[in-house]
Amino acid sequence: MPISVKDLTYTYNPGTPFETRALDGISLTINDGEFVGIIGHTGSGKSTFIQHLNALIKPTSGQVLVDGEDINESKEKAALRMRVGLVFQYPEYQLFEETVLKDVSFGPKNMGLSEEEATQSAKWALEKVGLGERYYGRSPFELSGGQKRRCAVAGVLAMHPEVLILDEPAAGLDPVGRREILDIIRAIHSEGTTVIMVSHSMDDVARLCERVIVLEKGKVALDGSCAEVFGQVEKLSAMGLTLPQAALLRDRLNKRGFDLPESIYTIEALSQALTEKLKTR
Amino acid sequence: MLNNITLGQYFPVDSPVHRLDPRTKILLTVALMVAIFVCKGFAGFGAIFLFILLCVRLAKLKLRFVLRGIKPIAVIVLLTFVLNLFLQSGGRVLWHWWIITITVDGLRTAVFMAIRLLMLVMGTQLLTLTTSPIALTDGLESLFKPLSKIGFPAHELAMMMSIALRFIPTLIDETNKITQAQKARGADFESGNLIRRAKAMLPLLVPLFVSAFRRADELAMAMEARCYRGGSGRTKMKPLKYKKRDLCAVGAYLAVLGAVLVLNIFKIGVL
Ligand SMILES: Nc1ncnc2c1ncn2[C@@H]1O[C@H](COP(=O)(O)OP(=O)(O)O)[C@@H](O)[C@H]1O
Ligand SMILES: [Mg+2]
Repeated sequence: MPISVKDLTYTYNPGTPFETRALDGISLTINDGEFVGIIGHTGSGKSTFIQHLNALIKPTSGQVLVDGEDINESKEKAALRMRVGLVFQYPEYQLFEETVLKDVSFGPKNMGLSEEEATQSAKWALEKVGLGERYYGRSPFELSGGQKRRCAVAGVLAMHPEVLILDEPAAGLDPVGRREILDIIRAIHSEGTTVIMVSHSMDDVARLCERVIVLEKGKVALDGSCAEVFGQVEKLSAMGLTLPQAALLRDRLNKRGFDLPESIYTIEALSQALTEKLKTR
Repeated sequence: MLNNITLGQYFPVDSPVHRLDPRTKILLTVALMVAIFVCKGFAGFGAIFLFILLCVRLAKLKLRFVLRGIKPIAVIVLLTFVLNLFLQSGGRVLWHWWIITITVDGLRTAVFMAIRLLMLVMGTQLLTLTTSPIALTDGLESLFKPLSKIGFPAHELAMMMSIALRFIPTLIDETNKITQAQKARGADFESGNLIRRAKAMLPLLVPLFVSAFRRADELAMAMEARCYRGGSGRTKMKPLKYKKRDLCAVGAYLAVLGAVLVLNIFKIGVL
């Protein structure tokens, strides 16, 4: 289910003093099975962009095509939103039911599944995020921060989306919580789901994603594989973005006369390249 | 849907009217209402309308913004017009059918009353369009301060009002976000009968209340941490001060009031 965006433009509050052009002529395609990271400065339009991908926002101009069809022409918006699952930033703020199980079954029930099927789906999703049976009957408001976040992610997973979009899934969590949620996302991707992840952390993006899209002032500034994007040191720092730690170290070493390839951006690759360099010296 | 709520419809530009002391603007708005009620004829309304136009011009507003405030009370204006039209009698009969009679006096009163209401709305619109809600509360607090001697909680009310005003955009924002998030989970807020729709609001209202209470809690804590202890002895970062332009504004108003009174006394354009 490829998603194609054509010349997408979006303006908040048009015709008022608060007019903001959040997106400005974005065109790109996201293919099946990809793991795409979206990075960019605060206010660069990341959150606005992803809400277009399941028709929560109607473009000011341009098109969003899912499976070749313009989603804003289609009447089946609810059905689409289940196929393209969107987890908002701080999704724990949308929990509302009395129990974890009920909250996670909210999505599947809206899909028109029977009570029983919905519960099945919810249990499956909770298992995926590592919340076992003993959490089913608890109030979602009693969970820890990381657990709440995982519960909210399960709420979207339970609809079995073909594309999963997450807005800053690790924001505001402690290191353990971060790792847990990122491992879950990685596992979901490895089972065949297309994943689009908005993130502030270059290291998370470098570790998980295959492709990186950099947004700047509502435009696509860079789009390519991790190696391609994280090789563009000047361009990234001009936009006020940092590099992943390993790429940063690689860059500093190169400035001191090491001749490491620009395509290195992970700790593993860096340590391997360095060992070889040092051996041959 | 929530974008249509223009509470605090403050239009943020820099203009001489915006820069007036909020107290001046509040008092002048009240005074303008008095003038509108004192006015007895169409010529006087003309003078007041010119004054409003002048303010709109100086405030860099468009007349259309001021007129927008009329929409919510259009029904009341219409009702007033119709009632006066049919119930007032006197003068030449213009139209008669069964028990309905429209007379010249009726028509005149109806138009007069409708214009009066429209003028009142335009006057108050002018205040809210050119004064930020925070400045408005500041002004009100300062005006009501003398009453605190007899136990009127001027500071507390002003503080509550500014907190409420401060959080309305936040809550609207949050409502939008939660609505979007639940829609992403397939929630349907639009279709179904009334009971179904009310039930569909639950996934929106619960998180909203939870977060409102959390915010209130955090705010109270933060205020206490910064030693907030109520109004007594509290000073202002930007104390209100009357300037020359406030005097000019009062002068302009007095000119209009004078014109209205003169027109009244000499019965120019008076009913
Ligand atoms: N609900 C909104 N109303 C008005 N402007 C908004 C709204 N949401 C975002 N914006 C503006 O749109 C731009 C892009 O914001 P956003 O998509 O949230 O960026 P990011 O997620 O990359 O931080 C910003 O300038 C922001 O101020
Ligand atoms: Mg964002």
